[in-house]
Amino acid sequence: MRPASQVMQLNRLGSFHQSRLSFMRTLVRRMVQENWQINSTVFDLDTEGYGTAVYEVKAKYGTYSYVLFSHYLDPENRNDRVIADQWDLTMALCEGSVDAEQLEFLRNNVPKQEAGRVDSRVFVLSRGNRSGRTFDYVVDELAQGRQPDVDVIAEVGYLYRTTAAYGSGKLGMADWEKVRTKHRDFARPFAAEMFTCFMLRHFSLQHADYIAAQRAPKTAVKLDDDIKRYFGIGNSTGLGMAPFLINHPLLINQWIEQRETALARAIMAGADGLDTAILDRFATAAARVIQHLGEISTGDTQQNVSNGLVREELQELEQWLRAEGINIIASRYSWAELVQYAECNWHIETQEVINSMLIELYPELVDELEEMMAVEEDQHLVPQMSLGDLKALIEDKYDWALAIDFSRAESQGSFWYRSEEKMEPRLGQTCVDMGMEKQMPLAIGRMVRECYDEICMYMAEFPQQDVAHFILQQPNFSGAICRIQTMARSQYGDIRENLVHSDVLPIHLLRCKLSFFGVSKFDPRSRLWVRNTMFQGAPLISDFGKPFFDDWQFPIKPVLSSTSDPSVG
Amino acid sequence: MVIWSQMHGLNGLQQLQDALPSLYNCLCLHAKLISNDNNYTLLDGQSSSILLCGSQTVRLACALARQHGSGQVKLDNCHNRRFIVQRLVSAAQSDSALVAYWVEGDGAFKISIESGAKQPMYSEYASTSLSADQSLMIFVGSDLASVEEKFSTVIKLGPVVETISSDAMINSYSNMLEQGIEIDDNLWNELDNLVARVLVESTESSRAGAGD
Repeated sequence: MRPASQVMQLNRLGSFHQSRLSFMRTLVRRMVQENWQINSTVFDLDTEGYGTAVYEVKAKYGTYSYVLFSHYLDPENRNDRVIADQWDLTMALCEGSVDAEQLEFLRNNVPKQEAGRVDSRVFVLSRGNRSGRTFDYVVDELAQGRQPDVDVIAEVGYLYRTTAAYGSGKLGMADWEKVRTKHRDFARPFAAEMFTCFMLRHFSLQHADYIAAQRAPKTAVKLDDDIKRYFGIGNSTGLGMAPFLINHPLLINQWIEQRETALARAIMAGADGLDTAILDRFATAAARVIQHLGEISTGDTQQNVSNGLVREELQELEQWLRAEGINIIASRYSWAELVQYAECNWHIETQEVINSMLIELYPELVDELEEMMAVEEDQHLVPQMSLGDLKALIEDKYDWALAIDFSRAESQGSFWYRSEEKMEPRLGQTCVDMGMEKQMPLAIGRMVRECYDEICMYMAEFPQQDVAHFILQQPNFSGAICRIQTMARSQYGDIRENLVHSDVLPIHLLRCKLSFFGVSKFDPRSRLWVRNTMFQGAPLISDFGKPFFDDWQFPIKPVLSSTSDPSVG
Repeated sequence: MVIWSQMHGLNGLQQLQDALPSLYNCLCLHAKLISNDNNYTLLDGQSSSILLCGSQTVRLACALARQHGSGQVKLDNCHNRRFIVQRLVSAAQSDSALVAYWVEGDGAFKISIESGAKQPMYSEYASTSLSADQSLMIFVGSDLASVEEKFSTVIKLGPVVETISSDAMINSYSNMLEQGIEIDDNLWNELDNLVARVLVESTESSRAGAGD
């Protein structure tokens, strides 16, 4: 497997793409293969589409309810930030069936989101806002009996976007431990949150059909299924996701270790050479990614440049595969050689796209790893460890942190804090913004450096002493030492970057986590937040139980069948 | 520590509510080393809360046990000692068996946990002597039988008043996990106020720090 010194660089983590192990992919595989039955038991909307919808979900191990409230929202108040307090849609995923009393309770609390309180029957609380660019357009087209233009949809990719999905005990919801132990259908990290977004996508498609039919009952058509599949659900992600990556190092280690294991298995599978079939599949995958990247619309110059560069390099790869296939096979060329070539010659994002494509080739070697994405997150301090051993451990495992010169002003040019405004995480500039004394402890590199310096000073006086006596003297370092000792036993948990440098790019943190969720079409809106698309290209609920090829990664525009009558829904 | 106590039926939230007035004014001092003699160490809690100095105390006892086969730490002058249970359970996961003991009013409390166990045995005894020194004693070894033996040479227990078994704690945990924890509005508001201490005032320029 690749070393942490390579994998855990922030810019590489920020170049990750979804893979077969991403949570949306594994959820969709599970739903389709187990043929989850999902039906609306309440669809009580007015002619404008406002009201209540409840879906009953019969999964393999249990029954759940997805409850959604649709509200009028003045476009002036539509805001994707954490600080918003009104949304077009609010929703909750609950265990079991929901009776009238519980529905009323949810109606009184779910629309308030963070300002409300739910109970432990609820797994996930979420909300969504309409896309100003597509929703009205699609409804208008359907109402007039036409299918929407795929090129217009490609510009955005969704009808609604979600701005948060809370779970794991927040706001009175069920603790993760309850979800993990009681509800096997959602006993993987973020499975319930991803399902909530999947259901939002399903509702958004029904919603557009419904409003169009209400508006023009005589002329309206329903969305074509191929176009439906091409709709995902939008997502806006800001700094709220960043502290999670720092505060859950064992979980992050687990995710990355499984991904690296998958990559290593794929590379090993091609160690003795490649055959025509696998090369064809790989070339086809390259062509698909080239098209996918070409269809991304983003106003971010850097992302556009990156997408263009990746496309050029993948075109080079595809042409080479097509032209040299026979020679590639004859020379017993291996994936390891391709990976090495990419590392030496191509953009980092191209390297990671290729890695995702390689993982995709070997489901039989990779898919079992999806059961390994959860982990116990307990960190344990070893009090009897000698300080000499701890010092050596830091020098060995945290050499990257000791290499940072924190005496330079730019090395401490930023700080992370929570605002009193809905506790929103923000990034401040040192000596410019207020609140540095209340900063969140996310600067792991600096924390290690400070701890190391204190240990060296203490050891000058007490060279034989142990950790327990050191933390009696310096109790504020017990958390740092606990993390250092714990993470020294794993490979990938700590991000090897100074996260308080003036030029830190938090967007890489967001992209890393989003890649494990399985999103696509990254559209950075600044270095602090990013829009993206979830479940675009994924099967519809009506596809569950049918033959399934699990090939919806890197979604591309659908080619509509010439025989399909667009007026038939 | 608080949530662990609440989840396992030890009234953590009520204890927290009772402790909050003193915690508000607490100087956030940690335990101070008074004496260190092979496998016995005396610490001064400096009138602080076990929420602050409990970890140090238990870890020190565990380190002593690793070095000498058994360890004993006495922490004087500390408050909220009932919260120590979670720290004992955590230490037990690292191959240590532990006993904690303290006197509170006319009751004496003893917590025992075997190495590797997830739940301890919690017992209250009639106190055989009044104690006003707010002390907590921690005994650590590699197995509970030897730790209990050592404990019995130091402490003479009175009649048992109440015990909470491991099974009772598991049942409480399961129920709390299923039903969730109800938090009193007053306590919630007080906790909100505490959290506000680490929040930063929002200004127009600070909003830029979230991407505006």
